[in-house]
Parts: sequence; structure tokens; C-alpha cells
Amino acid sequence: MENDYWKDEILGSLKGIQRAEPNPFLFTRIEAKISAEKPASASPILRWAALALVVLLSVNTYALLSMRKNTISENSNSYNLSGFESY
Amino acid sequence: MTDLEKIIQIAKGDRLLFKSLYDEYHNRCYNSALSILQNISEAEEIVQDVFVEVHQSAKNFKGNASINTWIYRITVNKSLDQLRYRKRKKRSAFFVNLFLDDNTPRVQPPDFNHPGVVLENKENAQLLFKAIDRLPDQQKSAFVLSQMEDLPQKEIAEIMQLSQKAVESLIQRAKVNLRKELEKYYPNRRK
Repeated sequence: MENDYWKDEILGSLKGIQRAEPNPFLFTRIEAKISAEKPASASPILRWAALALVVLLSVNTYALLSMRKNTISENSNSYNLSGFESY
Repeated sequence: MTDLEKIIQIAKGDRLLFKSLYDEYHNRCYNSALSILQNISEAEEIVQDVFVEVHQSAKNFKGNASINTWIYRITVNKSLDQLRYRKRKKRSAFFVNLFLDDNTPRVQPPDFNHPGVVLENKENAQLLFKAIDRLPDQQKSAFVLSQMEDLPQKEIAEIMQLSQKAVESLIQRAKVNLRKELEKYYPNRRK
């Protein structure tokens, strides 16, 4: 019987418990977290600039490749490799 | 303004309404996380994570549950996640220590002292929190929500997404287990 009494006493020890208060600056931290986690959306100007850069790079690469092709075929013509005959 | 209207406004970026939501609910969120985790800094982390999630998922809020239930649900889930993370960390630390015994003294976390307990109950409350900490996660959540947050079983059932009967049984089993656990402390306490 005595055992039950002390257990009841312990189980009832949280009666009248006061609510604890967290750090008063918690909301500021939450706001900081929210703004840090916002996906960085690029401005329209930046998006157009990126697109222009990609186009420019593609055109340059294409031009460079076709120039290289022309140079190789010109060289082979000047050495007359196509008409080379082996003896 | 209904709960749904409030959350819609928050999803649209109404900062003042978000602040008033925080003012209204942060205390419940903090106290339930504190009772489950028994650690002040972890409970504060949970409050931050809960309100960041509330802000981010406001646009998905359907209004099926009240804001109160919704916030409690996120709090309980995040607190239980934290408990699982803590257990995983403890397990991996145990294995590391098996292979790398550097003779450093192991520091046991001190017994939890809830800041809201009245002075004459401090010793008993400390013992009770120690016993609560040994309960299985579901029983712990149900016990905290019912005995410390004073929520009705119907709401606890909504928060934990269980039937009312299941919640009733969880609370009952928690009380039985607490008594058993307290009995283990009895010899030290009475001698």
C-alpha cells in the first residue's frame, strides 16, 4: 500500500507544472532560417544573360569546329594528297 | 478569420500573421518538445524547425485538421525523429568506442530538471522524467500530450493519427510501465 502511495506521489509531481519559455530570440532565428532556405530565384535579366552566354558559346564552338575542318581540307588539297599515287 | 484563411495569408507571405501564429503556438510546441526530448537546446531547435516547416508547407495546408493539431503533429514527429537520431548516434558512438578505447571518461547527461516544476516537486519530477525517458516513443508522446499538455484523447488521436481506443491503450500502458520503472528506483529512494 505504501509502495503505491509513493508512486502516485511521483506520478502526480507534474501537476501544476508551469509552462517553460524558450529563448526570446527564437522568432528572429526562425525568420533567418526561412530567408536562408528560400530558393534563390534569378532575376529575368540574369536569366537572359545566361541564355545569351550559352548561345554565344555554342556559336563560337560551332564556328571553331567548322574553321578547323576547312583548314584540314585546305591543307590536304595543297599537298595534293588525294592525287598521291604510290609506286 | 478561420484557420484555413490564416494559413493561406501566411502562405502569401503575411509576416505579421505568421508572427501572431508563432506567439499563439510556440509555447505549446516548445513545452511538448521539451517534455519528450528533456533537453532545452534540442527543444528550441525543434520549435525553429516546426515553424520553418509551417511557413514552408502553409501552401499545402488543406484545413482537414485545426492549426493546433497540425502544429502539435509536426512537433511530435520532429521530436521523435530527434530521439531516433540521438539513439543512432549513441549506437554508433558505442561501436566506435569498442575499437578506439582512449580511456576518456564517459560523460552521462545529467537528470533532466524541467524549469516549470515547483521546488517541492523537483526531486519527484526528476525521477518521473527519468522514467518517462525509458518509455517507448509512442507511449511517451501519448503520455506527454495527455498528462502534461492536458489534451483530450480525441485530439491526441488526431495528432498521432491513431484511433481514440489506441491512444487510450497507449496512455494506460505508459502508466503501467512508469509504475514498473519507478519500482526499480524504489530501493535507492527508500533506503
